[in-house]
Amino acid sequence: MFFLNATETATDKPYLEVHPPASFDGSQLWELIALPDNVPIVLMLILLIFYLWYAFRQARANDKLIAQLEADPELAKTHHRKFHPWHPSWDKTVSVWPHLLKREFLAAIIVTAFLIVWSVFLNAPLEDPANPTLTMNPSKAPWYFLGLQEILVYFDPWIAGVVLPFFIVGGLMAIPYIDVNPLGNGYYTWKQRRFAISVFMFGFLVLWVALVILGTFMRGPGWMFFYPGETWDHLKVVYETNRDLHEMFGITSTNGKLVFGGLVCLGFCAVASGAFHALFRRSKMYPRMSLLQYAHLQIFMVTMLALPVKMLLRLAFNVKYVWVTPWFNI
Amino acid sequence: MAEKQPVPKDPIQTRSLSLPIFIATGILMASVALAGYDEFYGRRPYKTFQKNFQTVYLNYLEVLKPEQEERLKAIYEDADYLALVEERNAAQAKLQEELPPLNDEIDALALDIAAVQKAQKDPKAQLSALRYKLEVAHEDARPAIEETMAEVKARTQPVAFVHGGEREEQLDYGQLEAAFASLSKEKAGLEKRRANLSKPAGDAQKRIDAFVDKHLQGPHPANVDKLLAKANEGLLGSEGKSINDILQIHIGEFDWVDRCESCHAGAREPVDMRPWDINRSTPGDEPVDHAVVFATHPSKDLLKIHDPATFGCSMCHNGNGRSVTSVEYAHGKNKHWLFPLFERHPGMVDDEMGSFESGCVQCHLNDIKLDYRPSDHVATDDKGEAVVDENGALVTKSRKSSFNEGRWLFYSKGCWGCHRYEGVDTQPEELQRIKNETLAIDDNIERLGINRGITEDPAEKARIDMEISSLTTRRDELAYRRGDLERERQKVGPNLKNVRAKVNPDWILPWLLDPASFRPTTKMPTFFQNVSEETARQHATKIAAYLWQNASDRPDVTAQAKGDATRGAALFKERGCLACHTVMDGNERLGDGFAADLSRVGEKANYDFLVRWIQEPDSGVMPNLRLSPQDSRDIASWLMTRKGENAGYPAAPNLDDPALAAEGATLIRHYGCAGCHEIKGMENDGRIGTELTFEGSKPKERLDFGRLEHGFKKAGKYTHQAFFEEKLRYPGVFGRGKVYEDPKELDRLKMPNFRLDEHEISALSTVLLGSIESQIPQTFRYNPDERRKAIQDGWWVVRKYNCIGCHQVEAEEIPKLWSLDQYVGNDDQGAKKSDRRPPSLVGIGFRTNPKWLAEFLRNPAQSRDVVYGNGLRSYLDVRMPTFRFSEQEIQKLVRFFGALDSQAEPYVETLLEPLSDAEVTMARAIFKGVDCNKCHAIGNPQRDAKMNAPDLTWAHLKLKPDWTARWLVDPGAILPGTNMPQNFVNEYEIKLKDGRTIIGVDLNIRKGKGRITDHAKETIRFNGSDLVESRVLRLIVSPIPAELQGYEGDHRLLMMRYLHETYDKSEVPKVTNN
Repeated sequence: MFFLNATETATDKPYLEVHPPASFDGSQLWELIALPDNVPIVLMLILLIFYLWYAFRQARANDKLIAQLEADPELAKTHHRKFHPWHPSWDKTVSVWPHLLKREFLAAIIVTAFLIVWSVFLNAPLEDPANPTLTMNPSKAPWYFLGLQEILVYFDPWIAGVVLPFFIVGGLMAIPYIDVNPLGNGYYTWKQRRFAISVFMFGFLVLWVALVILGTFMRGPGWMFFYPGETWDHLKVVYETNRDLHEMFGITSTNGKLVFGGLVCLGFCAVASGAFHALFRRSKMYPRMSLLQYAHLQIFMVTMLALPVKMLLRLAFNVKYVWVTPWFNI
Repeated sequence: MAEKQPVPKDPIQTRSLSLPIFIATGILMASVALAGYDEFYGRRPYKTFQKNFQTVYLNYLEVLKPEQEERLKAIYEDADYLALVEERNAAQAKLQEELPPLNDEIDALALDIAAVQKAQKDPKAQLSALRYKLEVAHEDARPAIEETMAEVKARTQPVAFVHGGEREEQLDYGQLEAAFASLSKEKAGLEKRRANLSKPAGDAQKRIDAFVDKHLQGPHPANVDKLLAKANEGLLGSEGKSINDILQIHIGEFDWVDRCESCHAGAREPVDMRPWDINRSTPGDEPVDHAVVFATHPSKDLLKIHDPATFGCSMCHNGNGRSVTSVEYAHGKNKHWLFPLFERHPGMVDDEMGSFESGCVQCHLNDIKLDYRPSDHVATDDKGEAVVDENGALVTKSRKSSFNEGRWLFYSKGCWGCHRYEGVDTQPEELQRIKNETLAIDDNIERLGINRGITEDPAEKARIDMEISSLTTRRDELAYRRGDLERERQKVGPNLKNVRAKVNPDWILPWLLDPASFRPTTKMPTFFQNVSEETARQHATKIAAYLWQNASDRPDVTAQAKGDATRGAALFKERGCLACHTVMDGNERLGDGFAADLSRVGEKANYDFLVRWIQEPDSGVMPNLRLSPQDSRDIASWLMTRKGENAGYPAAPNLDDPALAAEGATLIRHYGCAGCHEIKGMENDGRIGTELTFEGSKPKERLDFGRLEHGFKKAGKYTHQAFFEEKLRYPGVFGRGKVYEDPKELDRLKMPNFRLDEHEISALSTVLLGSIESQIPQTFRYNPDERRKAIQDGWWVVRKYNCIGCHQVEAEEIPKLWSLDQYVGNDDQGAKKSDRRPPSLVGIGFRTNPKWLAEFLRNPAQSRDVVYGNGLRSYLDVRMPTFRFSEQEIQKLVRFFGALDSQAEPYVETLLEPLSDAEVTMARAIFKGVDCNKCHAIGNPQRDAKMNAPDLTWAHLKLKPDWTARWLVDPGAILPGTNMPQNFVNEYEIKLKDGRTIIGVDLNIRKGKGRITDHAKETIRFNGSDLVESRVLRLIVSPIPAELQGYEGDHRLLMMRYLHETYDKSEVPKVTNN
């Protein structure tokens, strides 16, 4: 009596069988990678690794040179080309023309050729005409904003869309003013700028690039998490109930919530800045900084740390918001 | 220690980058070259297609040319052609005689006019200058100027005339003007005469051209030469673009661009080049790659109505008209294009048009029948390879229109019971509108009544009275239309309000559970396929309980005596039941599947009710056949013997349990039973399904593929078409894999299974696929004129009541009933059995007076007295039944038949001249002479039973005089295969039954063609204008019957007038019915 006879479900119509979403679907992963939209991200990943390696190789060589020069003050007086490769008999400086421009010219040619080939083989990623009654799922921002879109999962739009981007831009602009380390101008070095490089790498690689990758390849329909290769099933349902922190502690009154959340946030700031202070106070930079500079550094460091902490709270403990106020939620 | 080592060179300063730069530059050049290739060839595949098309086309034309030459040669030797040529030559010869002098005269006049104009030139110029001067001059200076002007006007000039003898005249200005006017007039007159003289020759030439055109079946060899030259030059398309150009159609009004012809360059070529022609004409045995790309459009007729220059291609075919970068993109097959090409797909059945016709739907919104012939198609065998006949030629076969079938299925299967579709089953909506308007009018009248009571002003009172009376009139109109609509509104299934009186209670449950096993052809779909068997049984029991308890007892169904089943069997076949019903007679299935298969009706029916129902059906489209009570009893008795092998059913329990009925109501609403059946308490329930008017453009994301989505995507079947087809094939399929939790199993997909075959699925999905929210502006859509609209409206009614079960409406279609044994071949007496079949309705719009037709449709018995029989054709066994048409349906039918024959609307009766006594005598003599009453009924039942032609006493009411006149001359031309003999050879030649012939001589057109030969189709479109002009005839037959001597006139018209004016009134004594 059921709607399909055994004969009708036969092999000639396999699509009438239920196909469970694959746990690893190589073709879908390839489709995702090869999407004209996502190709730049894959390229970025490759280039990033290459340039990291390249920069650190140079930095290591330069650090060796610096150590050598520090050990041999005589040599340092006569030959102080600050970067590798060097030889005592070589010129102390290398002029831009023709040595730099020659290389830039080569790079320009290669990039131009690459862009031409790219434009021949990959068409502009146009999709359906916009339909006001039908939102695409998943609907994603341009690839370079996917990190921000990912942050929206953890904070309300006001924080994730306005405050945090402001801190990113403001922080980048503030760097020259709070950087009190005079070393490392004009050459790659790791030893002389460990703090600056580590902080930047954390901010850029972890908080930006990693989130872009996550947003591109691991966020599917409904902005749900999918392992790379897992079939994007827009009917997927997951059990996930997030609660505000105050609910976990059984606080219900409006003022109570306000005060509790505020105290927790303040507490976090106190602990984070205290810990940072304990680490940083031994650094050579610390005595050179004015109070204003140090205060700014503290603000940016604490805010930067807040993001992964909140992500951790959400992913590990299903905390929706820590501090719920009528104006914003953190 | 460093000094001892050789100093290495600084790699930054000394390293030469020449090689890398050289290589990189090479790569750059290569990438530029790649971009160039991509630009000129990679993204322009049409260039290759165009080159191939040129080759293919040249080959084809080379083959075509000798073929056409051969055909032309055959035509030149054809007798008909030679006759036409002779006619033209004669006309030309005549023209040659008369034309030269006329030409000379016109030339002479032209010379004279030129001479006059030349003489006028100087004074004219002078006078205009003087006139200007006069207008601006001071008053004092005017007389002098006027004087000068008079002088100029008075000055005479010599003019040399040629026409009417050479001479020279001295003319002044006024005379010149007069001469110019008269000469011009004379010349114009002569030119008009010349045009009139040349007309016969020109017309004759046109006839020759038309003849050649018709028999050439393709282009003239000379035109083939032109096409060859064009193709050789590499010019494509109607605008002659050169190869490598984009061929595009641009519709400026709404910026529609179609570049399809860039590849399909042959689509509009003036030849008929189908894929098999291409393969035939190409050297070598291998079929041409993509031959179909180069073919001409298969239906030139269709392109005449939908000119691509106006409509483009993609308006009908879909796809991406602008794109030329790849086949995939141009056909709109890429992922994000919302309008993929409507095309043939593997599942399509061979002899149907399938989704090719989806494009028609968006504009032909309310058409039920497309008026065109689908193009032929190559027949394929099981393996999908083309079939070839013994001569090696491909076998082509005609295709059915899926549009027509899909539209009809949507209506006849009752899809609209659950799914709204614009334009189908509009009655409930119209009823609602009428109800609302009536309420508003009532309110208004009440308000006006109050105002009337308040006002003192008599004028105001009078105004209010008028307004009230006009509102009341409108309300009455609405009430009338409302009654009409209630009658029109027919659900697909039978009325269930009388189920209690109608059926065997034990039969209900098995039927609900599996209708197909009782009656495989039933329209009732199979429900409960998505629930467990246990639940199905429960649901069906509850539904049955509700239906049983909510049906009326029908106390008026009285017990009936048993009838004679043997006689009933004969009557069932004779009376025409088989036009709609099928029944198993022995091992043979008889009849048409329009209505229920009655092979096992004896198992379910209640005899008493059945008799009453046959006698007087009161719901649905089943008509009243005006059977006598005894006939009804006999037929019912026979039907009660129609039973299957295992006729018994287990007793149905619980039909009277009210608790079950209460649950049944919920279930009936859940399954939407009231969409197709009248059920008490659910008369006004809405539709339960989704609206399908724009289903084809619903985003795919909104189609519920359920758990099968990934499978469909993987198989490349994530399309509307696949969805529609699978849904129709297995309506529950998209619930597969879902886990349901409702213990009552009400959360399953509800759509029942209609058990459609592949043809039907393809047809329905064709219509659904085309049901899109069109981008085409309203002005481009089909906006039928009155006539075409009348035809479409009529088809809805014709198909609703299955008129085509008995009657032939289109010449090419044969009703099912006609092919029954009793109407084929000859009977024992050698008479054609086809005389006894229902009449053909081809040409009925031309034949009948619409007023009579409407009356006939209201009451086919044509008499209040005739109760159990036919009126007009009382000699037929088969009955024209009385349908429960609404007034609007009758109007639609009458207009439909008129429109089919292009009759003017409204019909104005011709005023006929009354017959003089002499003419009456004459007419009676002819009437007797040809013995009309030998076949025609006269309204006397005993006598008429042996007749086989309609009662002529109705002629004056029923027929149009124009038709009668034409019919008398050549009945066979109007209705091929009719029994009516051709008594009138033509207007002046009548064959009498005694062997004599009356011959008249037409004094006006002695040499004219006597017999009208332009029949065939024209008869139907005939307007009769050349038949009403009377011609003087003189009888020269010998011996001339005394009573016919001295009559001068057209006998055919005489007889027409006789039948229309005199016959019924005086000739036949009115027969009283018994």
